[in-house]
Amino acid sequence: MVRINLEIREYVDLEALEHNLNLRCTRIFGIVRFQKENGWTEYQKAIVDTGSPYSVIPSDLWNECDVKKLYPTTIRGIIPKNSASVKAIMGRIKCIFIDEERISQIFEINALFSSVPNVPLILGFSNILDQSKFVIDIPSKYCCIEL
Amino acid sequence: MTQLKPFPVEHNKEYNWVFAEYSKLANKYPNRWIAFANKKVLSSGKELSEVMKKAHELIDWDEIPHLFIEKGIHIY
Repeated sequence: MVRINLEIREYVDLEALEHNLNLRCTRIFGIVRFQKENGWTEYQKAIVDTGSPYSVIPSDLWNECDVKKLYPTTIRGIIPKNSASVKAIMGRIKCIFIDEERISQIFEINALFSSVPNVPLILGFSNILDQSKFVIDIPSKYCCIEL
Repeated sequence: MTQLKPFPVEHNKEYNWVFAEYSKLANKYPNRWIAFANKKVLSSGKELSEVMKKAHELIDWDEIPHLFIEKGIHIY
């Protein structure tokens, strides 16, 4: 088992600032590399999302990787309209977590391969977060995952 | 071929700059990928692969910092 540090990042919500509210948006990021046929991708900063059962991978990222496609599906958000969805493929892809010092073992995760490129890279539960100890201590700015 | 190696520590300052400037960048590059170095955006676009290709033509780094810039509040 290896402990990989995650990043807690904050940025100002400009829209809120226009309403005289000083609100900050917080996200947790993990750094991963995906397996290609002949090596690994450049590192990728991914949003760690405990609200997502699966990871989501933009089209041109998974297209350069060694993947197993399972079945076609769609990705939906909070808008209850069919038009507010993105076509995707459920599949499997191999990845590793990294931080400044450590590299995890290889994981084969279940992920939704987005049909479009302009979506963020999201790390959800299936075969990553559900296999790990996940520690978040926001006041201390500390976050890690033990894999 | 990219070998298995940890995150390059020196790239932290690049990400520190991006998150300090995030809201401004979101106005300029809404829901786009950007690649950046030395506190400058090298390339931007909808497709990460194209963004990275352009960035690698501009700077001789093995790996280049990049991020998807969200405009507005996104709930996934």
